[in-house]
Amino acid sequence: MHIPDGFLSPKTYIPAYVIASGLWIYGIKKMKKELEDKTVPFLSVMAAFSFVISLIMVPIPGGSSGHAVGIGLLSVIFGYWTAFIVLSVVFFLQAVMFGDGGITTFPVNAVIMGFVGGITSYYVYRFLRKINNTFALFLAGYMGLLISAFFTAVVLGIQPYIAHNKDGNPLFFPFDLSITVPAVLVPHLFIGIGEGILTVVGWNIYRRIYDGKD
Amino acid sequence: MNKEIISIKNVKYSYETATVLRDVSFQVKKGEKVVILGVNGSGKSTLLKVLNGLIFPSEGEYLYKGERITEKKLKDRAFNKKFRKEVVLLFQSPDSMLFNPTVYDEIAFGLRQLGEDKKVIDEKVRYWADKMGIYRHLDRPPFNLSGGEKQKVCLASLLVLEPKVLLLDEPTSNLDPRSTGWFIDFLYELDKTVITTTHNLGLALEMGERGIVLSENHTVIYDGCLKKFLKDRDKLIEANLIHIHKHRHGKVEHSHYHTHLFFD
Amino acid sequence: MEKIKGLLYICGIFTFTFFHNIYLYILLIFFLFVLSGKEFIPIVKKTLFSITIFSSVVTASYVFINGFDWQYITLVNVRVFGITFMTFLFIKRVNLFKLFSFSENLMFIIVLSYSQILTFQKYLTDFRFALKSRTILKPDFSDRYNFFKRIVEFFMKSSLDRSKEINMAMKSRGFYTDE
Repeated sequence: MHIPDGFLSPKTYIPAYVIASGLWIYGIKKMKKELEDKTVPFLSVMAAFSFVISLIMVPIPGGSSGHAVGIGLLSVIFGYWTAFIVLSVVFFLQAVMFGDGGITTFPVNAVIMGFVGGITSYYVYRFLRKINNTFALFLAGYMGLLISAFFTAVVLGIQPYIAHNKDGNPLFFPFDLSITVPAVLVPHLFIGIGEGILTVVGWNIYRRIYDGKD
Repeated sequence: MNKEIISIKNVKYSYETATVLRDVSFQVKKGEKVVILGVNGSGKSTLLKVLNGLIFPSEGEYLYKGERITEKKLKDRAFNKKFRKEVVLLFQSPDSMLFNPTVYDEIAFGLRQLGEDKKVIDEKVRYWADKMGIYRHLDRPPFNLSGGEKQKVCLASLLVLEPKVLLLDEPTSNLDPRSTGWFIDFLYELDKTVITTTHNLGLALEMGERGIVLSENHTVIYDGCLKKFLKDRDKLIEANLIHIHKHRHGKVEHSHYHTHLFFD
Repeated sequence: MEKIKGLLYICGIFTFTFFHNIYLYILLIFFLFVLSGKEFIPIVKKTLFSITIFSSVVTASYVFINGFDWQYITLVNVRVFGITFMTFLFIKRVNLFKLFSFSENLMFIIVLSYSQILTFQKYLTDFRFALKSRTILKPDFSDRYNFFKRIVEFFMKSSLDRSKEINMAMKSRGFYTDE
């Protein structure tokens, strides 16, 4: 889901920056209250963790594999505010340091994947964990990714409506919702499996490390 | 016994911005024990990765048993199978090699891929675990062992394949003195072609008779008898393996060349 | 100086997104090319590498659905190329860490995570090489799964350990003086 700069209109990325900034300020405050002086090192290291995780192929039964960002994993372990801030750092570094995504798509990614995705994962897990923990974890990762994919499709799909010239021709991303929603969602029905698996595997590993069991 | 098993000709390798191997050529005969010496960053690890067919020279060629190793060649499944079984690499950090749930599975990993019989696998795994002194850990996860034990698990996983060429990347850097001693003895008795990298001058002589020395400039500046090299002050300075050491005895200041022999 | 460059960069972004004139884009890109000097070729390469997949999928689908509307196609593709080239040039010419020096915390987060990423990438390369080196035939699902699990565990454990270590190092160097 790495959209380069130039496909999203100012009518998209400027509000996205405004919303994201508000969330960042509040989120960092919240993190600092919890972690105090550990905030900076924790945030940095977790961003590196999430970055490196996104480079790993998650094996999916049936012989294929997919990438995962770890949004579900971070969210169920550390809560969605922390997950959002960590992923924001990751997206920022990906955009400016590693040429993945862009500076105008970065706030959009942060809000949609980091915040909306994170909050989805968090509540899916909270509501379902009593039924079956593993299933809840898997679905948390899966739904977190799927919902963010849906909103990304929406943001792309509204470009022709909000940014066109006098003749009605698109100026930025050209396809409307009737194309973007199925085009983005269908592959993510599959890609989400990787995110789900990562959430299950990662959560169990974290518990084991945290509880000191071996 | 005298056949060349490995031949590197004018090999150059560059990462995006920097060249790490420059015009490197040498041959290794079957059964030879070669030590590659050089400071950190001289290209030793890269050279071993070339020899293991993980990366491919940007110029020059690498022949294994007379066959040129290229990316395409290793896509040939039959050849890849033969090559991966015969030429094995012990990574500098054993952590990067261990990912199976138990030591037993770790050692059996290669054999299982070869589709060997379960009973044969079991026999071989137990034999090598015993030989390496890690038999009591067979059911434990490998990553929680000590550095020396992890190293032994890695070695067992490689040797169980009965490889022809063993590439060892700084094998003593994670070991305590006792394990180092064990390792030197083990290497001495091993009847295989072995190429070892190190920056430890004190141990180099114990790991082979022939030395290939890489300079900081990433070229080969010496290839031959290791004993002679260690007496060649100019070459040692060129490789940056010794430095001038100044100190005072009472009021007299004097300087001499200082090597970090033994454990540096 | 870094702040002026930052401001110019933002103006550039606005120019590329508020105006929809291909000649203006080309003029600006030409100017950026001149500024890039010796680094022209590597930055062009990096730019193309970064945008090609997404842009060509969009362009190809557009042509397929709407026919060949060269005005739209050139406008969007030139813009995408222009902004991305400008971003990479900006990163080359600006010390990003300095740009964020207005907030010590933010600067540390960026410096620390970036350096940690480089370290982790090195580990990951070694993990991959080791798997490749030890793979005689194709690894099956359970091998790939074990490998994946191990990497996640390795990075999670080192992340949690590193976080504690950095925290102590920062304390020891007197970073938290205001508390």
